[in-house]
Amino acid sequence: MRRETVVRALLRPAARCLPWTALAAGGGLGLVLVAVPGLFSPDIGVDAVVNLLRMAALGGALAIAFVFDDPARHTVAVLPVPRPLRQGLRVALLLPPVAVWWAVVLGVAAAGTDDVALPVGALTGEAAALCALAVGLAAGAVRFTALTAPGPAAAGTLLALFVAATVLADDVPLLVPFGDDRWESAHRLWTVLLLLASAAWVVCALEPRRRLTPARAQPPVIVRTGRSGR
Amino acid sequence: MTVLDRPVQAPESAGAVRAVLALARVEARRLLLHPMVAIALAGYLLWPLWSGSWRDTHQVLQEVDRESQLGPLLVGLAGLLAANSAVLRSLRHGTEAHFGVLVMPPWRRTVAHALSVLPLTLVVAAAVAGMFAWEATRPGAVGHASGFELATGPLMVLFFGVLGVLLGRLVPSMFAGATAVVAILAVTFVFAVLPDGVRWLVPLVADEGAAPLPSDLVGRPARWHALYLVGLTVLAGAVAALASGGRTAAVRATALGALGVTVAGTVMQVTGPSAALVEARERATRDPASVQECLRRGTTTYCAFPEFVPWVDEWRVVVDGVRSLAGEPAASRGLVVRQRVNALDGPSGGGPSGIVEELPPGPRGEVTVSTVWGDEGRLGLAVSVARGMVVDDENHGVYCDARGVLMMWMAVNGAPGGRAAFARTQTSTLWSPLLEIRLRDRENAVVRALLERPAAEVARQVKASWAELVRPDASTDRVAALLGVTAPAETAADREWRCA
Repeated sequence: MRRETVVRALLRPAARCLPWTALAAGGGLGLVLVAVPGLFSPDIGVDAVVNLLRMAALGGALAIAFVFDDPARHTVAVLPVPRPLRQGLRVALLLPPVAVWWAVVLGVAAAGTDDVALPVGALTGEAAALCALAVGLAAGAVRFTALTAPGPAAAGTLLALFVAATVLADDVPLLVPFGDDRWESAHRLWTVLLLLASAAWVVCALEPRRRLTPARAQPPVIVRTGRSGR
Repeated sequence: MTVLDRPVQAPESAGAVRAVLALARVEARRLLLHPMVAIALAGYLLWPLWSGSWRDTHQVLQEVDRESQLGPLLVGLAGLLAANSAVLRSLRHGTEAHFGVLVMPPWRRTVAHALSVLPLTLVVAAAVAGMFAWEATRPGAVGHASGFELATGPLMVLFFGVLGVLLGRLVPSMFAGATAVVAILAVTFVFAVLPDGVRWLVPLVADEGAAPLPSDLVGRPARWHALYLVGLTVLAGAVAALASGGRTAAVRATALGALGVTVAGTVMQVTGPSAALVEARERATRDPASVQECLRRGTTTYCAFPEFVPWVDEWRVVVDGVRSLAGEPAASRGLVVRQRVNALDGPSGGGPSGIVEELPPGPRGEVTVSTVWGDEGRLGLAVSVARGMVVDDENHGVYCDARGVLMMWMAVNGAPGGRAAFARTQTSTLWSPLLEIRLRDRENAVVRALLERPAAEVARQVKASWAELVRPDASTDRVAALLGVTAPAETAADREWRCA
């Protein structure tokens, strides 16, 4: 079968499997968060708005962490459709609505603070890195475990990383305040993070040559062999 | 058919309670060993070692108690996710149907999950108590802690855990827990400046930034906030039980009772400080002498809020150090060192009218010391005293003459460790509790040059020409010549200052 036909046939089922509820919840939360200053306290300050946008991006990224959840994972694994294609399709289907949502979030935030210019590009970079991290973590969970729902683990890890970056803000300059001396270097770091996470996804999307064996069903030696197979 | 219309209710018995407790025990162990919770607990316990804060001295206990809440908040959020994951485990693994045939109804399992958060709560409570005991026994710890503030951290852990259980029962996806965590983080840390009526609805109210207040002036409704958290916790647990089918009279009554408690706590915590407290704060801010204890040590009188009296002997070291550098008559003049706070917009002030951002200057013959002590506090007091010796005036102003140089040199030399602290900063500003001594580049260069010279020799020269140095018309060139250094020329930036 030609690849185009496969992709066309996969589009609808893949779209149906995407975590739309999670996206609606996370996206809705992000919108509410950035709308609050505009509605209630317009003089909240650009710093707080930047942080709100970060929280909104985190909410969206957490939803995206559920993108590879697939109850039918073990049945689909035997089909002659490679995993990179399946995962790529899901991400491609997710991108446009997420991009639109982020544009709306930025618009709402900008409407709330009309007298100062928000660092839109830099924050979009941060949001993209967070989303890429979510995808990378989920792909890693798929690659290295037999979970059908890697979303919770990926989302939990992403949250833990975000909180750690907040707590260790002095040592890990990622979530720096707008206008800080480290703003430029922080965003170089975000770019590196985005590239690394995307690369991690690409690597993890490739199917291992051997079948992943459930840990408990096999003696440990076989499990190790299974996991180290490429 | 009619028999099967309603699910069979398990009889209330000791056996049912035992089963709930047994399940709670198993789940509690799994909760404590959940990776997120274990990592959060380890991070929380190791943080004081990592940041070096375990070495802090001169803690003010009415600050320490509320600073104890941040770590538990993060542990609690991990607990939320873990408890949420535990409740949804049977759904995730497709074993919900198997549980359906057990005698134990789903709502009792929910209750067991809610109870499973208790051991984590106790672990956090023990950690809070241990850390507080450590800080309270450090040298120079003063003040009084509030048990309710200390209890808030563990109560948050319990509430978040039960909230995780509730979310698991309401939404069959772990995404709800993650979203809740983001929402909690946002309302706690990003909306830091919420209006008074709303801010106490957030589990953690930090009140950071202001200098510590005497404990009787702290207006945080900690007790009502703790009650509010207890109410919310029980309410969340009861609603979770109701949502999983436990519609018994006892559960309904618990839910209603918890709702009442929550509402009561909410109402009480947003009423704001009492009139008596507002009056006490006014008095402590505008007329501190009326509530302070004074001790005389040599020619200096130290007046402190009663809780801070143990610090007087340490203040004395700094004051005597700075005084010994001054010449007569200033060196033996009577001096009052008065501790002052701005209590009007302090911790959860809900300050009424007349909020003063900064304290007004004190009367002549008095210098101000704050409620913070430690390296920074030492230098601050030294600045206050040096200013009192040289100009005896706590009004703002940049001194572009000999007096500026003299004050800075005395403060840096008089405070223990002051030279090292000043060498580290590249700025030309030192902060006293009330105001700062700010120097222009020119005067700053003279001070730094003076610090290069032997201190004893400079001190002798200062004493010898004291009368000339403190005259308002003594120029920077003059002080440099008298003390044996050269002053650089005035820069363009220097000329932009408004000199006193």
